[in-house]
Amino acid sequence: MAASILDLSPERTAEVAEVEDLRLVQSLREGSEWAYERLLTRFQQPVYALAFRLLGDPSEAGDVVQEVFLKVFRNIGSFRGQSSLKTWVYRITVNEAHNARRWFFRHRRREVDLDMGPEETRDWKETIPDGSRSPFDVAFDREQHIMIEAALERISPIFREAVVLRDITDLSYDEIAEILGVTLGTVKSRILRGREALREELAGSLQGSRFLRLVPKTAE
Amino acid sequence: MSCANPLEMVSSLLDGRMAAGEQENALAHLKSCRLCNARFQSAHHLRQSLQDLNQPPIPDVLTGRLRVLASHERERRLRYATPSALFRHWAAGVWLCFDNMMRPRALPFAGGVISALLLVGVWFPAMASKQSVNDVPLSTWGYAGPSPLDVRTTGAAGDVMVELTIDERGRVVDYVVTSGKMTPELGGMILFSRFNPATLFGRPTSGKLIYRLSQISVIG
Repeated sequence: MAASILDLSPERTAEVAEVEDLRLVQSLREGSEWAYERLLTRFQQPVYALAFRLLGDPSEAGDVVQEVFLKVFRNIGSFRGQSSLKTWVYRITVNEAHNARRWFFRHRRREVDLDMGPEETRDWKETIPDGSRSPFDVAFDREQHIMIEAALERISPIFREAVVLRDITDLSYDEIAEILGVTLGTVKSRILRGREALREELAGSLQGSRFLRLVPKTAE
Repeated sequence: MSCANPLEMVSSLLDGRMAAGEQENALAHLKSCRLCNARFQSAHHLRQSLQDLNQPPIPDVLTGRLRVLASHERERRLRYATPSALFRHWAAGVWLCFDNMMRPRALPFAGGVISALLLVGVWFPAMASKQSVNDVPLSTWGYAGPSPLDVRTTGAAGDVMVELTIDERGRVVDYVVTSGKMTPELGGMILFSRFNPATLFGRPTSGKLIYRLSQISVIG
């Protein structure tokens, strides 16, 4: 018993995760309150993060997350366990993000956002200074993240999906292939081309705005 | 290994998707080729930066909405779980509709009923006729009748039928013998007898009375 508990091999972990998924799905079908709570706790943050990275808009991501969980709750009866629960949920997220993006380009492209900018809508927790790092490091990382996120939004959505799922969500090629419904070769190609497109976008943005480069200097 | 397809090599190496021998060759090539090494370092740095991107925090509003959504969907699943649950749901819906329909009318309805009861309670005793034991019916005729205490039953013998005319005070003012033989004693007895006078709308009035005297034995 103790040996089986301490067995942390990848195969064993995957087996345990599969059993837990099946138990969770069965409990969801039976309407267990615990299961609904567990599903939200486990997936709401990663699903929101994935939707946010794919769409680049927090309000759109919020709408997509609600649609995703609505579909998950309503279609849990048709989940057959051929893929993992995580892959299934992520596949729904990617599809919903794709639909939202199409709808956005059709209907809301010309709309002007009257809300405050991202700087002014930051949560107060994000504005508290971090005492463990220097202001230069914080500013450098922040600028770098802003540039990467902007470059990520500029590349093709097809490549963005692959790069986000691989490099940010850290999924395997097999899982990405299942989520996107494409072959492994296509996944490999999209990741490769997506990374290259991202690198080119970053290089272009750095050439276009050299003032963004932060160079540390010693005070004289 | 050569620089024939450096992007694919870097990407595969980065994702650990090379066989052991192939990976050793690639690493050896990176040591010898500065350009490929620079590409690998750049790709590695980019991937690291992507992984270091801050997880966008899920808004509290969205978390609340997801919980409400989960609660509604759970109730929906339980509702359709069994026919009895579905029937209970329908019954509850019908009852709710009835309740919502009747609730605004409950106060006016109760007020109306109470007002009606009060009005009936106040008016009914006043409308009811006050009957007493000594009341004389007003709308009927009263007929003259004998007063047994005042009829003096002594005198004639045999059956005699007489038609008496009685005034409003009960005294015989006239009589006609219709059959039988009238004797002077019987005539005197009739004249000095008192009868109940007839009544018209409760007031004594004169009337006629047909009287039969049978088997009267005269004493003395």
